Amino acid sequence: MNGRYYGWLVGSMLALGAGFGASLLLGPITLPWSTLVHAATNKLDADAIILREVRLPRALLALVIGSGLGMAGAALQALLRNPLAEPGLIGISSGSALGAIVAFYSGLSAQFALGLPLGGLLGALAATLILYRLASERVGTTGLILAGVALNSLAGAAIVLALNLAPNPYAAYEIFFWLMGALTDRIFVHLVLAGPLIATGVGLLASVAPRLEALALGEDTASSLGVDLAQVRRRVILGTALAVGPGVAVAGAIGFVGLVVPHLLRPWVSHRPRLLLPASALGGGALLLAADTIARSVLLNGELKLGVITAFIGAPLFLRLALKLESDRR
Amino acid sequence: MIDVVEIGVRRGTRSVLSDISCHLAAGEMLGVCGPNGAGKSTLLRCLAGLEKPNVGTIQLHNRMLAEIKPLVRAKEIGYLPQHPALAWPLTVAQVVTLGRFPHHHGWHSLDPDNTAIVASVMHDMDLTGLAERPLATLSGGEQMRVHVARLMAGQHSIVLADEPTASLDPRYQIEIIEHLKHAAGSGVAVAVVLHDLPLAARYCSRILVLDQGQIVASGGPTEALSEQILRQTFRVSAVRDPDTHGLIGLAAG
Repeated sequence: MNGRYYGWLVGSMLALGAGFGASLLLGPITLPWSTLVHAATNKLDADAIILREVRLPRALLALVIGSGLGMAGAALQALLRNPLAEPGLIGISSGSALGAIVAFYSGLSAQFALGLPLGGLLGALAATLILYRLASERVGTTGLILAGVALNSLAGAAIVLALNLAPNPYAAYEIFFWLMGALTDRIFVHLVLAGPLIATGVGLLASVAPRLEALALGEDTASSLGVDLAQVRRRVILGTALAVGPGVAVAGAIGFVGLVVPHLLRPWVSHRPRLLLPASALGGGALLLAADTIARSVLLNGELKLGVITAFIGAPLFLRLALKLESDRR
Repeated sequence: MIDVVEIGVRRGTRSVLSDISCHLAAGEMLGVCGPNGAGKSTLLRCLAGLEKPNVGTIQLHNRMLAEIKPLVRAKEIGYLPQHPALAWPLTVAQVVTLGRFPHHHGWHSLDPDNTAIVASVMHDMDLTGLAERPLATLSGGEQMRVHVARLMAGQHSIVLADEPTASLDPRYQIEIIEHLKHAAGSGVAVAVVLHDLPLAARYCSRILVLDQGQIVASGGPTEALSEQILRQTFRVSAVRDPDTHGLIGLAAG
């Protein structure tokens, strides 16, 4: 079982590498493959500069943000034992979005370029700390989900308030489009800000993956099997904030990656979190990379929003899953 | 093995357990009986280390249970909750394998020793043919057999089971309790919550009767499930075997 799994994992990584190379060449202008060599050898032609300065940071960000979203989704679903649990669900994405909007309004983002991402990061942390406090006291899984729903509603209301108060139509327009999520015009600075934090989060989540296996039997049985539930909960929540928050700050709220990827991969790993988490990190990166390549390639006059594509894939699946869960319960 | 001294559990202002002292010894099969809401499940959760009593002490091998690391405790004590849950469509073999979790919980795949233990438990409990079936496709009785196999796969020295026979047909009730009795026979300390008093009287070596969070009787089946306790605590009267005097049925108060 495990040997085959690692074989698949290495194969997927190779495929992802090839996809990564291809995605660098695709876009409004299709570059010849020789550009890959030119860019790697620091040659100064226009194509090589497009590839290096525009497409490479974008593709790397897609991989990093996607893997954070995929892994966080898989970990949350294992912790909450609910295939609908998604980083958006427990309020971390909207907390992050709210933080970024506050930065936008306070003028912080006008003063220096990274104000917006930093605001988003702080928002994610605030949402996480509230959840962290709840998780360290004795609330069950339902309590955690309800807390997430409440946080989401609160952040959503505050975001709408911000739109209402927008000083000019352009500001509301800006917020609206940022909320949809995109990787357009993202540069290496964004990668430097978000990358290490997301990697830390992914590492933290990976550290609890084997223990998440026992949670399949419920919290009491998992505890009786030696799982320190409070510690697992804290690590999953903190890991999720780190894996998701910086991504939202840099690229907006890209939804449903954490729902779609684990759902598609789960049957392939016999429903085992230990195997599902790394697979979902890879799958999330691949999905976001593909979606971003499509986003910049299909329209001739401008770009699709990345969040629009993931929502078109994810929302129908979410609906189907929700209806299926409900009918299974009857 | 487990010594409980004067524990009490409160939820808010309500007292769930008060002044409970008891012990659980190797090789015995302790039945925990009592009406609904008597605190049976709470007592079992305390014994399993899942809940900390507000007052009193619980010791495992003369060490404070609360101070033992979860994984160390898990190797000693196995616990089967009242309604075993399963979040994902795992197979029978996967569920039984999770019973080895205290001994195997890293990234590596199952080693030969653990694999052999799982295989032998599955064989003993007649589950080998069902190994690759998703648990949810089995009947209620078969599912409980799998959960008990998961419990046995841990090879614990203490086994706690909360109403493992509830809502099973008689054949599976007897089968499940025979498995627990067999474990007790091989030196495991077993505590089991049972609603079926004649079943408890027949299989348990000792019975603890709880009522409103307190111990009202303790001892051998005939002694603990006396006429007076049955009348006062359970509001039923006994139907006894005329020869052995064992409890074989119950009748209206």
